[in-house]
Amino acid sequence: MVYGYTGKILRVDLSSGRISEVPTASWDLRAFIGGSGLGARILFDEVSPGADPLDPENLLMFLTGPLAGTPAPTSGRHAVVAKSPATGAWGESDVGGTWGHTLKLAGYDGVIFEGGAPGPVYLWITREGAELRPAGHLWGRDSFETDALVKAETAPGAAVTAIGPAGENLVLFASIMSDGRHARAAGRGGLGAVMGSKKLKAIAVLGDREPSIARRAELMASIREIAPTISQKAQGLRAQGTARGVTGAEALGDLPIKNWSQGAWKGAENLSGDAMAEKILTGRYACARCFIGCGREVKVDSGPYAGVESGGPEYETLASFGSLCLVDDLEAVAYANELSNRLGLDTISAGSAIAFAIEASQRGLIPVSETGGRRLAWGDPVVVVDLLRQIAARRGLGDLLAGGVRKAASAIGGGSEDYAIEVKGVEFPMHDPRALHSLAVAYATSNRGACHRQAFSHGLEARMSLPELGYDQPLDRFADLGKGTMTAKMQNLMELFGSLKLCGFLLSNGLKPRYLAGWLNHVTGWDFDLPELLRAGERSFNLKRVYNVRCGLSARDDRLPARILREPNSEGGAAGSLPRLNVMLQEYYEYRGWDSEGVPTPARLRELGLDAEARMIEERVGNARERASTGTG
Amino acid sequence: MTETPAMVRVYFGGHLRTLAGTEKAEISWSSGSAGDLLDLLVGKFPRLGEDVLKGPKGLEDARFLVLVNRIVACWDHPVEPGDEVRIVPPFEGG
Repeated sequence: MVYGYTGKILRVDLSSGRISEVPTASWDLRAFIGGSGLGARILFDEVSPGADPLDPENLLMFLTGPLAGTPAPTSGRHAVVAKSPATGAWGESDVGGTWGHTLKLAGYDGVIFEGGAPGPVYLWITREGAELRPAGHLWGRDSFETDALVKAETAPGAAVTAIGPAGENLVLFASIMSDGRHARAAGRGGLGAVMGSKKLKAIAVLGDREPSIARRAELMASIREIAPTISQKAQGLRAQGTARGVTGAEALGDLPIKNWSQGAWKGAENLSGDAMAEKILTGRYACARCFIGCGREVKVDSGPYAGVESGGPEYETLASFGSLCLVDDLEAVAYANELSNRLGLDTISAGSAIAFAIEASQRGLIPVSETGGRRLAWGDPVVVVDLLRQIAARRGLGDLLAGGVRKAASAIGGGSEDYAIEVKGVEFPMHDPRALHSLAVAYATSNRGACHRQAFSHGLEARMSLPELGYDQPLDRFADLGKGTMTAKMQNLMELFGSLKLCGFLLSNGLKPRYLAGWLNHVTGWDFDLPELLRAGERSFNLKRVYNVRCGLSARDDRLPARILREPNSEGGAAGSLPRLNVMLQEYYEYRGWDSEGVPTPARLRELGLDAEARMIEERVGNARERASTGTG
Repeated sequence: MTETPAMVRVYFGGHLRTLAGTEKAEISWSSGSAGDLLDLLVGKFPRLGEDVLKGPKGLEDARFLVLVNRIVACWDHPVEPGDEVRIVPPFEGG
């Protein structure tokens, strides 16, 4: 008997409407575990590097981890995996809420969609099976409305994940939203557009049966051992949510301000956790199996933004719609957050696109005829709200921005590439590599484009220590030496959070990596030790990298925009600081066993059990040599 | 000629400002660690203690960051007279 896993993955061919069940054990679970690790194996094997992400050939996968449905803390998360329309390469998004947990209780480890439906549909999943239902009446609805309507048609207790109009309109940073008004987002990489391209509006699921656990008593004892520590350390996060970090980030010079051009800003105080508690906070929200509860519930009763009543803005959103655009009106940011969640837009990329547009407009690169007869202004919430609507509808300037800042800069020109803040086509999250240098190499090498959570390296430059990885105390945040190695180690560790589908806030609040192996072993009956488990993390990271190499990415794509590498801020907690990316990258490639082109070497791939991928790289190198020797370029 | 007394300048950010009841303070200081300074500050501004975790062995953790001359400091980080110390909320990511 397989413990932890339900043993079944739903496979839905949207073109034909055929639904089948595939044994989860069809794949090597000890090698790839679950979540995004398992997704990497499936995407690599089934989606050709040449596939257009928005064509039916792409897969769209929703995958839980082996701990989902068990009492393991924060295990209710799920991964969404597809070839990304933002990067044209590996795409994954990680999301909390209740949907993944409920899918597991319904008896499935995941759902794989292939093909494309001829018209809008949604999928309804219970323990009795799954059925596709017409969704023409839902097309055009926002994610909150869709959640309510689908629940009314299925079950009040169902968990729903859905796209909004942005996904339908193939915005390249469209998100997939779960849990209606609580609004948990699979935001990064434009996977909502993949869902829209398949005419899949929503997936509803209902379930109530916990998976089998091999050693329940040991699992519970392990959780009881560490839970008090995490709970105590996370008191501030529970009390104020991620908004608590706004003022700290500003003090460090970490908070991006005015499209990453300013180092300090008094307005941060107005977006803080204190301000939220004082002005709009009405309650708190926790994802399934989470005892931290960082989610906020907010309400705006009066003024121009009255009517907001939903999950409150996270740190990332307070920065992207707030400091990045110089908007310090918390109620306006809460409104933009709710609007963005309803429309199904990634708040990080949306805010980044808007800040980019404001700067380009201020520099005269966008005709005023496209911006209402005047230049877009910093600090104007109306600009943010109007552009969100235009982006989701692909209307006017919004159509240009809907492709992300890389494409917009390419179209606008005039040197705007220097302040289009992205990597591989994905906009930066809201932490500044000039303040925490490891973020430079973390963003440059993240397989899904700029991402801080796939390394969480910045934690080791602030408060965290991880003796199990060789870091007894936090590192100097402005140092560059050692950061390439540290970031690679952290990426391997965070791959495990992506495969097990656990929340990174466990790590920043005292969870030691050895507990990951313990919980996995107690649930599945396996016998991983931490080094073997970290090797699994390294394996999936490399598999994603090889997929990206096959998609045409290489060292030349491991780059940061000029503003981050050449323009230090003149004030604030990181004034004068610039990360030396090349120093870190060289160290990073060496530690990873990659060549100078950023390609994993066959030898390292074989060490990780990726023999077929090693042969692919050898053939690729052989073909390149042959082309060079015959001069066929 | 009178000698300038040895001091460190401490700034409080975010909700720590509320807990301390002030934005900045000048503290007489000869030498010691960040942990020693924190003990002194908690004595002077007792509400700061609400965000400090103490165990049987003394200071274990704090739910804020201590920056000494902009560097994130561990508890044994030396603090010298003339240093600038900032007590700020942690950043949470997310």
